Amino acid sequence: MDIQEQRQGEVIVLGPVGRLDSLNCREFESHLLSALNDSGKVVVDCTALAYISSAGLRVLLVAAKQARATQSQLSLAALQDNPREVFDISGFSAIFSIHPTVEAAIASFG
Amino acid sequence: MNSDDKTLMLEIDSRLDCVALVGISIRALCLEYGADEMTAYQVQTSTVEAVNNAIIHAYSNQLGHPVWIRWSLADKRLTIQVSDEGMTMRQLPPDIEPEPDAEGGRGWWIMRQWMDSAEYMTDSGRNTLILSKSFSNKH
Repeated sequence: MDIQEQRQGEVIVLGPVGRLDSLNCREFESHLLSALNDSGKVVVDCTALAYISSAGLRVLLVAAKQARATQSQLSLAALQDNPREVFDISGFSAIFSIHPTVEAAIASFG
Repeated sequence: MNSDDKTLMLEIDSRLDCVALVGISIRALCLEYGADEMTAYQVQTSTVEAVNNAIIHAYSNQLGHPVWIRWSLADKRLTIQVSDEGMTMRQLPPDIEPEPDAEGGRGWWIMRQWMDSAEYMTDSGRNTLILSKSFSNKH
């Protein structure tokens, strides 16, 4: 899968493009956990995330657990309507800090 | 079978890189026959979860096994059947929302929430998950 990555100050912004599912979730998990290790402040930019399955949700949950254990910060931004439905039905909207824009997510880190 | 009823059979190999094609096809069929965007997305996602389960759990992620997907629309009722010849599920996940930290069980939860019913059965070595949902079709 295509994963866009950029650094804004001390924050790493990861942008998965297209689908996050069983086929590519391991690749994204590796990127996400590495980013958390590297910077401790990560935003997942969901602007171009068109589809997420339960396998993709699991990756985000694993990352959230790692962030909690290491006192890192993880936020999501710009979640589109269809993936947001999956988040809502799965209870993930209450687990994650979800912001309308990447800028808002970065600002929330303080 | 009524002449207005529609049925399509798909068969894929037990490879995860085939699953997206199934989901995209199912979504397109739902949109063609009158589902709104969100309903089509819900059916697509539920079908993908079912096919993933067949590949990952029934076939232990081994290639070279068949997975059948039957899409049918009759009397404004959509039915998706996903079948495999792998290991049978002895016990279905409980129909309760997974704990926030639980890493498994969300696929079944999503299917049960978004479809009207999700029934699992085994007959002559073939396991079938039957998902159904009502929606108004324009054809």
